[in-house]
Amino acid sequence: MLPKSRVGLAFWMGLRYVRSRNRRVSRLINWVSTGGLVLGITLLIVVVAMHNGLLRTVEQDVFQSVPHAVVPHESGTAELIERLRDTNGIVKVERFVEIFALRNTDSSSDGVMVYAVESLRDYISQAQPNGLDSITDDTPMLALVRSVPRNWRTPSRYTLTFAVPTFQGVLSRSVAFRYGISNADSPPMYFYGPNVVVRIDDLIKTGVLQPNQVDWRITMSNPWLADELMQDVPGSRTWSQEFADYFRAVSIEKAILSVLLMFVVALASLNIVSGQAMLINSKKADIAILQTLGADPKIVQLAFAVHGLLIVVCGVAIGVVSGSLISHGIGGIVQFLAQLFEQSVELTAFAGIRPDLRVADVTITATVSLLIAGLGVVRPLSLVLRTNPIEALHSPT
Amino acid sequence: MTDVVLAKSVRKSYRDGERSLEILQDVSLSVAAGERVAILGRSGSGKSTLLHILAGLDDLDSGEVEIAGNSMSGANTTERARIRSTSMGFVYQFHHLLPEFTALENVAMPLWIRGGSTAADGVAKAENILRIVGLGDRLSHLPHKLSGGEKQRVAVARALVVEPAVVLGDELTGNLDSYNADGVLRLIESIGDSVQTAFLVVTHDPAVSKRMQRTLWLEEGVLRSSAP
Repeated sequence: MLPKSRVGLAFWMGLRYVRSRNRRVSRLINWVSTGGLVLGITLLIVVVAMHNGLLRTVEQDVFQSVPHAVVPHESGTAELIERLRDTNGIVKVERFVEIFALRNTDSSSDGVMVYAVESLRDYISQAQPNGLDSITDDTPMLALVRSVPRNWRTPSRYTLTFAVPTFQGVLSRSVAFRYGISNADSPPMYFYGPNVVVRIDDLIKTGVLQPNQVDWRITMSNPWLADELMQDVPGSRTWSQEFADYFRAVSIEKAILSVLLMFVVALASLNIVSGQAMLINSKKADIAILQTLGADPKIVQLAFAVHGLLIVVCGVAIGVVSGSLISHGIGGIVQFLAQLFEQSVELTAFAGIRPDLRVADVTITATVSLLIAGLGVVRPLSLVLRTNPIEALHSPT
Repeated sequence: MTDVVLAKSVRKSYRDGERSLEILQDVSLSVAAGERVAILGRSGSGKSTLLHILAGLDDLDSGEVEIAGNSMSGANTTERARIRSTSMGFVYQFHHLLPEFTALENVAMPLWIRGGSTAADGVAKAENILRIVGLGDRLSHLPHKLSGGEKQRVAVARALVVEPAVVLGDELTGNLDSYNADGVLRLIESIGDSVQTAFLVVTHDPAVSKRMQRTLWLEEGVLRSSAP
């Protein structure tokens, strides 16, 4: 391949400098720089993909287990509920109460969050009977629980004590339920959702609730629009008021980790600066002779820039490919490690997150890395202009 | 005959602390097309400085320099680069071949830098001149695989490939044994006889100056046409 123009000549010379075997230390620095870029970009892509996956998993879990919005009974007039049912983006409006209760075991009590819902149909399919009898949607006084305390001796009945406000003051009312243990990994009973789900009518029947104390649960096709859709509904509360800070924290964590990992790329860029400076210093005689042959200093600079940019482009490209491949295969890798370390709980939980590799993240990572590393290439090029040809030509090559 | 190198009243001095060192004092010189001229002088006499000023690599304090009708002293960096690429060739004591490039590529490099012809034309011209200097079988050799004499012949070929008005030589045989030095000088004589390229060679070696058509003497910054 021969150079077809002066710019082509610069590219051709740059390529030749990359292939040169004369500069061992400089080549070692080039390899370290490329390795640093690959490592930094790979880590960045994998960490960002895992963060996206974590955020998506949490998002799905939250949206499937907690109400997207709740309209309190005070403002839930018939007209408002009708209007909400007809609103575009709202897919379901149903009766709902979120209430705290005490769960009484043999020797102690603990607090649980109870969702009182219209029907247990959605939860039944996820639930296992307690072993004493089978459960159906028609089973009276049924409570579906996420878990039971470890020290419990599996009683057939499950007792919850509610605080009931009356005109005489707050009274406690204990209610016994049949129960089934719902699968904690199934959407309605995720970690973010309730500990116990019961029927609203059972609570009304036992005097825990009055019929006019029932709120409304709003389900939306796009929960991210909850605040917008509910802004005119007085007293309403949305999921974001409870979880937005958590999502924001995860996003901030992702941004901070990205910046920290970008330092690995910046460190590799410093290596590129050293490699470029060493190359230019070792090529002073070449620069001088090229000047005597009439080469424009910009063309000489371009030749050295090509050398550095090739390292950068290769490093970024390999980093992007390896980061993408590892992101796709991380589940298998983590499972293998989990097996290796005898089913480590942390690693197994980690393996449950499905990475979410987004083109935008990869593009931003690659672009920022190219810019940072590109600066490392450009910065030492001023050494070309500072080369004194007279000095350089009076020493052996 | 046309003068391809013309220097008028060139002065150059360097500051050494508070002292001013006068390196060139009112130096005037002309070299005609095809002429071979030697400037003989001891080390530190200002020979190399004069050569660098003629090549536009160093600035003069006063005076004028013209190369093939182009004012070098009044030109900016880009114009100087253009004059060098079209009208001048260089041969140095150290060959200064580009180590990553073959003999053929080193010789073709000035043509590619100058532009105006295709890459293949450059290769053809370079190949031709390398055959003329007796290195037709060393085209694809990298500099480190060539002997000292061969490297200097490649450097001569590189200086001549653009068919310059003048080739400037700085102690061009200073790093060679007598056999190879003689070979390079014979090459310059034979090429000089066949083309209109002038040679201006600075040296401290009287044996080299004897092989040129005219010798000038530089001593303490003063150029003389007869031995001091």
